Amino acid sequence: HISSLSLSLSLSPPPLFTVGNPSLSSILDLFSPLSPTISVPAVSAACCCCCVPWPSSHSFYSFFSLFGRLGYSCFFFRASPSGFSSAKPATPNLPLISASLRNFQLNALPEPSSCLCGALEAAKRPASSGHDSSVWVLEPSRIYLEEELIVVQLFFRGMGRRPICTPSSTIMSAPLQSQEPASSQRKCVEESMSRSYGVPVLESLRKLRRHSFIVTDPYLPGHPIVYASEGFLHMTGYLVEEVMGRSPRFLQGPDTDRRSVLQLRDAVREEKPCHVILLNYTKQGWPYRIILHMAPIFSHKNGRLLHFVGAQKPLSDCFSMRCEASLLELCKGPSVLLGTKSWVDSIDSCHPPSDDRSSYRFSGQRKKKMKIASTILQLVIHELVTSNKLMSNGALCCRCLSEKAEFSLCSSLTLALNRIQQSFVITDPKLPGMPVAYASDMFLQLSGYQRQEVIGRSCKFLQGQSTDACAVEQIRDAIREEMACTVRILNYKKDGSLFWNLLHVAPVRDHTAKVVYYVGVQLLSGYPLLEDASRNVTPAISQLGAVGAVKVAVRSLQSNGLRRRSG
Amino acid sequence: MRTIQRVETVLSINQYDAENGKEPLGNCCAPGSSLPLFKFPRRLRFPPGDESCSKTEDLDWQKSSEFLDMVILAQWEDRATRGLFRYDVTACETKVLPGEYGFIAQLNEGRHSKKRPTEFRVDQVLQPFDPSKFNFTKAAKEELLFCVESGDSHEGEFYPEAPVVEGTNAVIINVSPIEYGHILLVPKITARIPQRIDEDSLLLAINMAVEAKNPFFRLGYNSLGAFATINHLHFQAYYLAVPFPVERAPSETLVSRKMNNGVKISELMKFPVRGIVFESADRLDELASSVGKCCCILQEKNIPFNILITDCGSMVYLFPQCYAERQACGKVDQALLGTQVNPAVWEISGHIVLKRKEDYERASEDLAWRLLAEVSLDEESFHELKIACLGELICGSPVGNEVVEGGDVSFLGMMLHEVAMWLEENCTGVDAKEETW
Repeated sequence: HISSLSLSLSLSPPPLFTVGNPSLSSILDLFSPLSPTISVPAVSAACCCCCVPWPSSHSFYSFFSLFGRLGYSCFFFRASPSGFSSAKPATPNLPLISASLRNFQLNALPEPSSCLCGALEAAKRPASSGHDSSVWVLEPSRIYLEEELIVVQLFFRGMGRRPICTPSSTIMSAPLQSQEPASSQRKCVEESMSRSYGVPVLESLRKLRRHSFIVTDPYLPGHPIVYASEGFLHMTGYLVEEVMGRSPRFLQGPDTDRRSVLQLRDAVREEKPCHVILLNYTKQGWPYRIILHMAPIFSHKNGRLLHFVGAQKPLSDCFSMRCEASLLELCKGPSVLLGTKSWVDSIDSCHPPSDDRSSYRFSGQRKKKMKIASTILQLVIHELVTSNKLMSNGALCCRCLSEKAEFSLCSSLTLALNRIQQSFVITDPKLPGMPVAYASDMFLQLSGYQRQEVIGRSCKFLQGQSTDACAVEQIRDAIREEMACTVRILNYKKDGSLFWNLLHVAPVRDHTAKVVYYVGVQLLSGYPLLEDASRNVTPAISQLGAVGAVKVAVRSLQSNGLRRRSG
Repeated sequence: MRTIQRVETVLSINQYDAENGKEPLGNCCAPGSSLPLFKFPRRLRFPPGDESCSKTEDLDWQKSSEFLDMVILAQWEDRATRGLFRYDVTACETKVLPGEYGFIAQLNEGRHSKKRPTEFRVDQVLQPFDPSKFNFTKAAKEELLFCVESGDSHEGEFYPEAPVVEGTNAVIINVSPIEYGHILLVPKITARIPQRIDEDSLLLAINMAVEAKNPFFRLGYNSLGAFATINHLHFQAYYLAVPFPVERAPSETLVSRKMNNGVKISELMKFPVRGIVFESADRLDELASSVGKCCCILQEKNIPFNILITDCGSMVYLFPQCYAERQACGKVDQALLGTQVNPAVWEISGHIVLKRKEDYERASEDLAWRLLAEVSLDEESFHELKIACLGELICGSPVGNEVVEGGDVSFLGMMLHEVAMWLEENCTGVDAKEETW
């Protein structure tokens, strides 16, 4: 019976694939008929291929599943006069294999309607070596032809292998998916870590670089990644500049379980730790499953949320979903940041259901993985928290003032407000002078001020000598009545220049139905509304849109808002 | 014929007072006139199959600018300042009930209209359109926010004044809103379609959810017999930046993505109402098709149902229900009836609007659970329904129905076997090198 054959063995010639420079002849060896073995760093695989008649389009899926069940991965290349070209599987969800091989030698000329079908099986580790005897399965391989180089990427599913051949950007001309963030935005991303923990933290985190973890900042627009470990970059196949400043959502794909994403979003919103099993995609589009442990980090000084840390540990998914779910259920330990002994203990005490033999065999791995992921998380958090403590004990810098006032807006509300592409400020009517609690990036651009110069100051700083007192009175009346109003008022930028501001002020209520903030949306007469200019959107619409978005955000996210309570 | 008495929800000001004198919407929607128009981008019309940019990239917020969001919210806020709503919904207290699921309760005394209860037939899910009754072409002109249509460019476009085409879809405000931004989506308003689901209208609703790019902008549908008020095809939608309890409930996979053209189908577990969950991050057309087929089955079997579209259009929940039927037969507990909660799609999802202060004070997850337990189909009927739906879906799909051609597979199998034999004979048993990771 084929599946029980352990075709283990390997040759030991030098590594076949290195980044950028595969040896051409050795690749061709791969595809000559019935070539016995190829040697790949760290794993040995048996490979065989031959020419077969072109299978019917509907059968592709059947073949893949058949081979999969037998423990093989297979690929198909269609014969064409110039060699072999890509075979596109019938069902769109299967990965696309594309390449062209030139100078391919076959013993027999391929028939026009034939294809090259190959199958590879990864070797089983000998049980005696003391390692667990799981099977690694080779995903359908990918081959790229780039000028004279043929690059083959073999990706192994399961067991957390990094891609054997990570195409560097010179070989793969993949377009950068993210736009270039504005330089000020980039500066914020780069400074985010050092601002809260001091510069030395980056060095100390390098000790953990083998592990995969990221740190995200919820106060920046889009909740971007501000730090990614080398292990993470290896696992996902991205370069550091492709990852910094982007929301981790780009790792998700069509097969990612939406509920896990929802759980994560929930935890971010409630500023709580969580752990999920998630399907992510590498840069090349290959799916891999991970256990993700995520936890918030709070400032030592004022208890405010600073960042979220996520540690990933890849999994092999050779067992049933039911086992996953029940295991997670059992492993729901108390949320802890430090002092994790109880957390680790609670995992140890998990007993997976023993009705399913296969699930029992793999559950040991799963538990181990969870423990590892959790431990990595603890280590990272430990580094960050100690660095933060050191920093807060040091001299107070003036930036901390703004951090104190921003304390009134929780991270999830800030995240929601950051999405609004308008110039506006949120002011707090409960405090004397109605200080500014939040100012959007566009407001800062418009007025010329820096964020720390604005937060906590009364909104009157935009007014000046020539400002019409009547307009100010109108606003004051509207606020007293808890009504909205629109006035045309003369304002001053930081540099002293004047501008006519079509200001719309509206009350904003939270879930208790009381007015908690006032939102002021500015409109500079003639100010180009960025994308809106070409979109036939009147200024009134933009302003009201911002008001609406603020109302929706504050209603649910203000302070404890509509968060779950333990009951 | 089974009926229940209930007070009609007022969705439009003209419903409240027929002789209002305001210009009815229907006349304005006639081709030749001009209305605001929002055009969906082209990518939503075609499945991303061969295209390199998939829907998942579009979820990257840095590229998107939440344009549809802004248009809806702006128009809504505008109507609010003009006083078109019966009350200010943001002035309604809301809270999350203690518990794991976090049911959301709202005290809304203004929603309840003072009209006399009318008789609603609950045993017929499909009823013919009755032009004498209120429908959305009779709504007031100011209640229309804008029309939506499929467009051709890469991004959404907005035109403050555009000539109306036949079969345009209207977005109208709900004058008794449950939450901020509560709107009604009326597909092909001038066609005056009765309240019944078909694939096209579902696809439109899903497209809208996708284009809004906001996971907290949800669309819902109530069939007749499941507390739809007006027999004119419409979806509801609003913004609430809170996860719904139903979204937190686990689910068990019934059919994987691969077997069903990219749409995963699962059964809702550990939730008082039994339901089916459809998930697809990228195949919108298939999603609409799967859900549409199941709805047709429900409509044929005359089972009332509710639909919830959430998570930017990638998750659709289908809830068959029987509360109205049970109410008509007198099987519902008087205490639950006393709260006067009509369990439509929002209530089933976990957002419960209460009329009386004492109900709001006493609200608990336990009460919500009890109420929703009355809504759900029992296990047997649900199981039957599940089988019927899955049968329809799987048999219809080319992959699912695939009888693997014996010839090809056996050939490959033979080849593989031969090769394996050869390898075993010819490989020397060199030990695999130990590698360290």
